[in-house]
Parts: sequence; C-alpha cells; structure tokens
Amino acid sequence: MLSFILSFAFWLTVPAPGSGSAYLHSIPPDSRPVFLAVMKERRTADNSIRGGDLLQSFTQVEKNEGHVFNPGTGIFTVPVDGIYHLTGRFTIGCYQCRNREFLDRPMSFDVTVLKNNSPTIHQFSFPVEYTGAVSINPNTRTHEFNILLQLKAGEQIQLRYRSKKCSPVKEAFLYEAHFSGMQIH
Amino acid sequence: MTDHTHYLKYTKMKIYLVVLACFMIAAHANAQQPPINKKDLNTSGQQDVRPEKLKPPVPVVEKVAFSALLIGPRELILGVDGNILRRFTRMEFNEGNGFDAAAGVFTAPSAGYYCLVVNADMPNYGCVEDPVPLGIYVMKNSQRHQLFHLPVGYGSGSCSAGFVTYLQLNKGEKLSLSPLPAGCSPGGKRPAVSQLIFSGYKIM
Repeated sequence: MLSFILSFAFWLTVPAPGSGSAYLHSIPPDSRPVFLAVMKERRTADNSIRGGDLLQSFTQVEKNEGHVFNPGTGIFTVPVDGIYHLTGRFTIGCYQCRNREFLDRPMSFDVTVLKNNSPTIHQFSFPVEYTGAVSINPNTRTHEFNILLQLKAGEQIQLRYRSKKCSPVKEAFLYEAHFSGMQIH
Repeated sequence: MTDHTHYLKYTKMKIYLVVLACFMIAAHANAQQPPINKKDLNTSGQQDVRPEKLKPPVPVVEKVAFSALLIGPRELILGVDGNILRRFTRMEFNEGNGFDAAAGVFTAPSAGYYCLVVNADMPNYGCVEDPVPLGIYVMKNSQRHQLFHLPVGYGSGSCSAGFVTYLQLNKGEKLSLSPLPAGCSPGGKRPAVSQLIFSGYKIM
C-alpha cells in the first residue's frame, strides 16, 4: 500500500518531459546596443557655443538601448567588442555665393568619424550646391553615410563636421543631423 | 478455523496490492525512459562511438562581416581588371573569410540575407556643363545585378557618395563591384576613386 502511495507521489513530483527547455526559452535574449539621436537646430559649422566642430547637444534621443549614447557630448561608447553599423544623415543648406571661387576652391561639407578623438579612415566630403539669393524655399540637401566598424569595448565614437566658406560670412549651415548605430555581431 | 480463512483472505489482498503497486512503479519507470534505439546498443565490445558522431555536420557560418579598403587614386578605365574593382589595399575585418581582397570578390560562406555598404570618395570632374555620375554595378555571379549612380561633384576637390543595398544569397554565390566609368566632356578629368570601401554583413 505504502509503495503504491509512494509511486503516486513520485509520479507527481517528476516534471513532465520538455518543461525544462520551455523554461530556457522563456529567458529573453540579450538586447543589442542600438541608438538613434536627432539634432534639429540651425547651426554653423564653426559654432563655438555647441562645442566647436564636434556634433554635440542632440535635441532628441529616439532610442538608446543600453544607454550607449550621450546626447550632450554626442559620444557613442562601445559597450562590447563587435562589428557595428553606423549611420549619419545631414541636412545642409546651399551656399549663397555664386562666383568663380566656388569652382576654383574645393567646397564641401566635411564629416569625419572620430574614434577616441582621432580621425578614422571614414571621412566624407558631401557636395554642396549654391543658390543665387536668399530664398524662401528650403534650399537644403540631405546626405547620408553608412559604415561598418569593428570596435572594442570602451572605444568612443563621435562625429566632426566642417564646412568651408566661400566668403567670410557665407557658409553652408547644418539644419538637421541624425546619428544612429547598432551592433551587428 | 474461521480466523485462519480470514487471515488467508487478508494475505491474498495484501499480495494483490503489492503486485499492483509493483506494476505501477514498473509502468512509471518505463514511461520515464526513452524507447530503446537499436543504434544505441553497442554489441561490438569496442569503444562506444556512434557512427554519426564521427562525421559532424558542417556548421553554418552565421557571423559574416567584411570591410575592404581600396586606397587610390585609381583611374577607372573600361576593360581594366575585367571591369571589376580588384586589388583592395587592405582588409579592415573579414569574419567568415568571405572576401578575397586581391580578386575583389565576396563569396557567401552561408545562405541568407546580406547587407552591402559601399562608400566612395571621388575626385571632382572638371566640367560644369556636363555632370556625369559614376555608375557602379553590383555583380552577382558575374552578372550585372544592381546599378547605382554616384553623384560626382565638379571643380577641384573631391566628394563622397555611397549606397546600401540588401541581397538574398545562396551559399557560394559571388558579389563584386563593376564600375561604369564615363568621363564628361573631352579634356575633363577621368573618373576615378581616391578611396573606396566595400563592406557587408549577413543579417540573418
């Protein structure tokens, strides 16, 4: 009689097969570092208020999984070793000078990806166009870069931008910038 | 006498219950064990190695990412190098060993969806009147697959342009880049790249 009861009790305590793996699946997978920050402000390329030519003081943070991005300093700190896909998007204004200088002197809106405060091979010279006069039309162009970087934990990535002037007061303004990144592997 | 039969009756009942309990334990133990597979039985007396263990399945290469850098300036002349961007200067990384820097060819180590990222720095053309983009074909297995027109600036200096695209590849399929160089007016600068980065990764 006792063995009958014991066998019954034993049968109840042993979990059904497969319940162990179901428990493992219920653990959420590690979330990947992802960030997307937006800057919406008209800025000059040599702005001294916003930290020189570094892209800082983002006005909006859409996503910041793992708190890898500091919108104030504009620095993305790499959380773990891996390969990352970074995207930068820039809406820049047209120049307001239409002269021979435009052709003779190199004119571009330059963006450099900095790693630990030093320039990487990823340097972009986005073409700028010119407009004859101040227009009510939003004479802007949007340019974008995508890069793949192999990064180590703790490395810091930020963006530098510079626009050349065609006259002392006329330069291409930056109207909007997006900076985003995610870990691939 | 009556007591004896009574005793016998109860003994029979006890035996019956014990047999029943033993049956249930046996049935329970049987339910816990997987059915015996004849392959699991080792009758050879040798080391217990399953035949399928000797031939492990070929692992699927999941982590694929590459980035190749071409440092120029390199003029893009029709017909040179079989019209493929070859002779990359160095690899930034090559996870999964899919990219051949000398040949400029990426071979998919496993089937899946891939993202390609191409960046080019191009010296500006010297002609204002006739702006010509630099065409770049993504070649899939030596066939023209996708065409991108990268805008080239004019005047001195250089400009950057690039593209991102997504492709589904089978294992062993090959990708390369084929420039479609076209100069502007005669006497203008020839199309060239001062730097080009050919990179990509497997999404899933």
